[in-house]
Amino acid sequence: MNLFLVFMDLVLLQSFIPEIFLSLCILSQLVFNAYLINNLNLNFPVIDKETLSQTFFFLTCLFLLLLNSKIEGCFSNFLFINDNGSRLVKLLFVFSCLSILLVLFRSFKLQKLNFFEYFNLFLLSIFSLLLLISSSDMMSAYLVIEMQALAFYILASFKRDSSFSTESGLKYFISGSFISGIFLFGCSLIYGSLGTLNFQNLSLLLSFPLEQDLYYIVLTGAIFITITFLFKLSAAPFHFWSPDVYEGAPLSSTIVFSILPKFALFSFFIKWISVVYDSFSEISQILLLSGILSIAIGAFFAIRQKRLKRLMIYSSIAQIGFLVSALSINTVNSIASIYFFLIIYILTSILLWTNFSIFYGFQERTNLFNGVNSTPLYLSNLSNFFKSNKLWSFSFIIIFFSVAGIPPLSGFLSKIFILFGLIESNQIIGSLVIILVSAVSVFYYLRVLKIIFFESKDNKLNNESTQIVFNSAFFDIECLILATGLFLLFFFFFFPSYLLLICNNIALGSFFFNIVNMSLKQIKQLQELSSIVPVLTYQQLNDETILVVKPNDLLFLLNVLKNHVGYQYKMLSCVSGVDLLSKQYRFSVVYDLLSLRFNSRLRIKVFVDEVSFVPSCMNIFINADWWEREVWDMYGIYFDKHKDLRRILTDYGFEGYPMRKDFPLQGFAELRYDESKKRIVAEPIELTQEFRSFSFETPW
Amino acid sequence: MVLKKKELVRELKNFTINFGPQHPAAHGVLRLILELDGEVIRRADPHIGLLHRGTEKLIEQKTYIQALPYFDRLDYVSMMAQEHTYSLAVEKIGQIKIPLRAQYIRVLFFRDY
Repeated sequence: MNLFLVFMDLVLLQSFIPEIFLSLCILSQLVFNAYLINNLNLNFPVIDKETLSQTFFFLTCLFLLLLNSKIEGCFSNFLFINDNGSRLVKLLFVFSCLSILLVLFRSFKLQKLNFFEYFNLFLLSIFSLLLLISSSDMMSAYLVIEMQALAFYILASFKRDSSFSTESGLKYFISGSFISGIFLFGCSLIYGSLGTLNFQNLSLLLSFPLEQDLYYIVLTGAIFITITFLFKLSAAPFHFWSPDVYEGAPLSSTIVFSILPKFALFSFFIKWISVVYDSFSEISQILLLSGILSIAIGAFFAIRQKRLKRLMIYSSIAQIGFLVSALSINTVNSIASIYFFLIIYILTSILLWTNFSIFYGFQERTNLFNGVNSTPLYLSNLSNFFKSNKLWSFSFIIIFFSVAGIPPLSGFLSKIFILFGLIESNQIIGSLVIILVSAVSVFYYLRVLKIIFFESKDNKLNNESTQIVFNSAFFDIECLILATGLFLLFFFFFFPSYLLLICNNIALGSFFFNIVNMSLKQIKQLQELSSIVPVLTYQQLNDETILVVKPNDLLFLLNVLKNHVGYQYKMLSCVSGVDLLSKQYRFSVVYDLLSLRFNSRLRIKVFVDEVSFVPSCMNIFINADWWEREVWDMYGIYFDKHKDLRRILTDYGFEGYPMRKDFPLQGFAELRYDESKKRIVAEPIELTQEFRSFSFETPW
Repeated sequence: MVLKKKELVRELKNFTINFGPQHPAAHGVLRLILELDGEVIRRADPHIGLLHRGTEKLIEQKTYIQALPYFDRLDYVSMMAQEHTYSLAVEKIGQIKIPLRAQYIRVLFFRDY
């Protein structure tokens, strides 16, 4: 018995093979490289390039493993759940890590760092974020977030001889441990009142109304936990730590901080919000307020900034504001739009930091300032850079226009999706404020462009040195990333459907644990449905939902219900006819659908009279062939465009439609074997006894 | 005599078999006439049997309780299961609550017969 359980665990563990692989990689890399650099025979080699290729190799293997593992599974009593949605998020995440790694190396070299441990820590934080994506329990999430934060503290203070770097690491550590305390306090409030921290159990418990005093305790806990995530994502008003930390940290660490954790934190945050969303309306108000505030603070504070890094950080706070305000409406569409925004956000920030690290490279080689890390980079350093490098400046315009949300770029689409979602859920004032404030933010984006293109200052750049830089910089791997990314920025604007499909799949995957509430959500979604398909009425009978449509709309409705990712009614379990003799529309045809994905059933009715017909749905559901033949056989309802509409259950040569109400119980014909003719003959029926109807009440 | 190569080529012909009914007593069940190419079914001609005995039509004339025995006949291997589903449907339509004891007894019969 025990062996069997162990075996079951192993089966469930299969979906965690990528994570197990990565953890083994981290350990072996650490041991191997520690042995290598202390090797006297090899003369204590510098192995930063080798470590880079090792890390790249590990991540590529991880990506391929994730691509291959299609199993859904869970680990140690639902602490971690791997579903289809989280697998897609992980794929996107690891892919972004690969491109970050390539950008990272240049800035790493620029700061004259050559410790292999840097990449080890990078892998360690990737490992913890992978676990965060699939965790579905507060406790496992806490441990994983702490692990990621510990790696980040070290990354922030990695340049030990720089006081900036040490300061930022210390600030990060103090603020991080403070917020961990708040998180744990929230957890303890929830655990004390509900007795569980597991998301599945929590969503079950919260689907019933809580008692008055318990309600406020749980609400307080939920708000604390929500605040923790807002803090981690550096959304206003909990953003104060991020400009200081990001500014002081080495460039390579800033790149890691601003790009790496966003996917994972958001995918977990969305899970958490969909657990508490339906029970506490306050949470959504907090999210909307914080979102609008972050957009405003991002826009207004960025105007005053003179340093390049700080400007970028405030701009990223504004972007986070969009994401958080979209989270305040918790529908499948809004979550899909969040993921769309996230993907575009990650893409543009990778491009931006690539551009910056190229710029840092220029600055260092032209000896404009000494020691990249010791002095911060000011906006004035960019002045008239257009003269020195045209290609760089043009790519900079495209990226900045995308961040600002100017049309032929995908940044526009991602913002418009979120705004549409807000307007649909009647947050008109909120969306109006967001639009106005983002108009302000366009100002400082344009100001930077103005500095690059038009502002002339005493130009110390001599042409010789820029020429060298030009040649060497533009045949690097970074330029490949830059070119691909810029192409994608245009591509996703014109063909967003590929990305939207992925986002929809992720959004539906994150509802995996929330099946209990599905019946409620289903009704909400069905009301969304009526905007696409003209549905006549909804009926709710014994928790069973019935839609009534016109026969002309039937095929379209069935097609949408079967193929739309939000419904996935893949199975037609029954088609049946009903004879309502005295009604205006005499017959009705009833379709029973089943969605295995969401464990829900749906019934669709159409009404027809004796002369009209119903369109056959055998092209959509292949099993409708026989079902419709049966309805035709029994009721005589004609199915248009059916390939083979013969009788199916009655005898050869049968006349009439036996299940109609005006068809007599005894029928019209009688079959018997005729001895003289040696065959079966049909004759008009003759009853030897009068037909008796037992229409009295129950006999006892 | 030398055999010509042409004569060696065998002509392949599809094989037609009757699939079911498994037992002569199991009347009115699915019968398939299959056309096989080796082990692959190329064509199937299903005869689903004249199973329709007008149960619904008969029940139209009866009260809910009088209708109950007809469900035994739908599948004589699991009569109680058929009756159980019918009763559940009637209870759901009429929103009838039945006593716990009755539920236990019903489940016992449903499982064992």
